[in-house]
Amino acid sequence: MTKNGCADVKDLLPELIRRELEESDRAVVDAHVSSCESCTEEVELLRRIEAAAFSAPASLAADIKSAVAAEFESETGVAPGWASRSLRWRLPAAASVVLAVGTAVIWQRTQALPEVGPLGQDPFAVVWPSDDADVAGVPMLADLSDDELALLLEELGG
Amino acid sequence: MVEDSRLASPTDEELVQRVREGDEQAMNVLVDRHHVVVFRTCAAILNDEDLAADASQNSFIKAFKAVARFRGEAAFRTWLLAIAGNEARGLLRKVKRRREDRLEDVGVLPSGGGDPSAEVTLQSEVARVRAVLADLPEKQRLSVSLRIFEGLSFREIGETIDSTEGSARVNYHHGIQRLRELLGS
Ligand SMILES: [Zn+2]
Repeated sequence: MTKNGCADVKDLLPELIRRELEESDRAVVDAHVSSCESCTEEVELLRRIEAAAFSAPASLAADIKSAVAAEFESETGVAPGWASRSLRWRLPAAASVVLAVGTAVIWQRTQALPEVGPLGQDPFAVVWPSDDADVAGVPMLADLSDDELALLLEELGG
Repeated sequence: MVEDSRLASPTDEELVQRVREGDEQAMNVLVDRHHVVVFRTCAAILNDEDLAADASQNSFIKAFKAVARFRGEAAFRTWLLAIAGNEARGLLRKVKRRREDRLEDVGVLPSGGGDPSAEVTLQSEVARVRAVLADLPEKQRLSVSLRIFEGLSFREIGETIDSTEGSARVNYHHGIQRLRELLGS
């Protein structure tokens, strides 16, 4: 880190509270924070936010693995060891369906604002940052199906 | 067990290749590696632990089914998080529809967004922070959550929220600003 103004330091405060700063950066950030009231307050705020994170259920990884195994087994009727055959013949078929319907749909989406909040009432949804370049005229991922999304990502990448 | 030891620290891209070849163990390693960040992405959108767990499960299933179409231009994690975001939004829409149907049935109208700072005064600290987070626009919420909870870079957050690195940074700082206003410092 070459600069040490508030803006640069604030970009790094998440790494500070996560103890992920490299030694040289940490010295600079610590020195700044200890003499800056605004950054000290922000560190405090970030810690409060961090403490409110949802914790993944302890069994989540195991549950996902079981569900994945069951999903692919149920499609083929084969026990584990199934995948080499099932994935190979299923995926090209799925991809061709997407190719047939996906392209036209994807680029129609123009400016869906995100839906947020449990009842969909978001008092701040229209207050986009003025320098947020993706407000209008750009396809939003929010409403795409997974197949459409996968295709879009493929097209963007390819 | 030879297979397992070779899977100790392969890259995501190597694992994805193995998944394509039908390697179930490679799927499990990818689940171990990414289930928490997938869960946090879903939780940021759904604001509910159980729903986020359901959406996480479906995200991995859909990602593995679509893995032939992942060509490695973006990082696998970014691609997976985009799928997770979509899955969570789809589930959120379903839940809202169900909830609205129920409310119509009994003739009760939704209470509305209201003033979050007033609504949360009697709740616990964690619940207060979550309530204020839940009221942020989605891109701000995801930027704050993925940056603080998971330490993702602005660049990766930008890709995940279908936006630029600069936009992710702005969304993050606007979200933090809003949280400061509503939570006090
Ligand atoms: Zn400062």
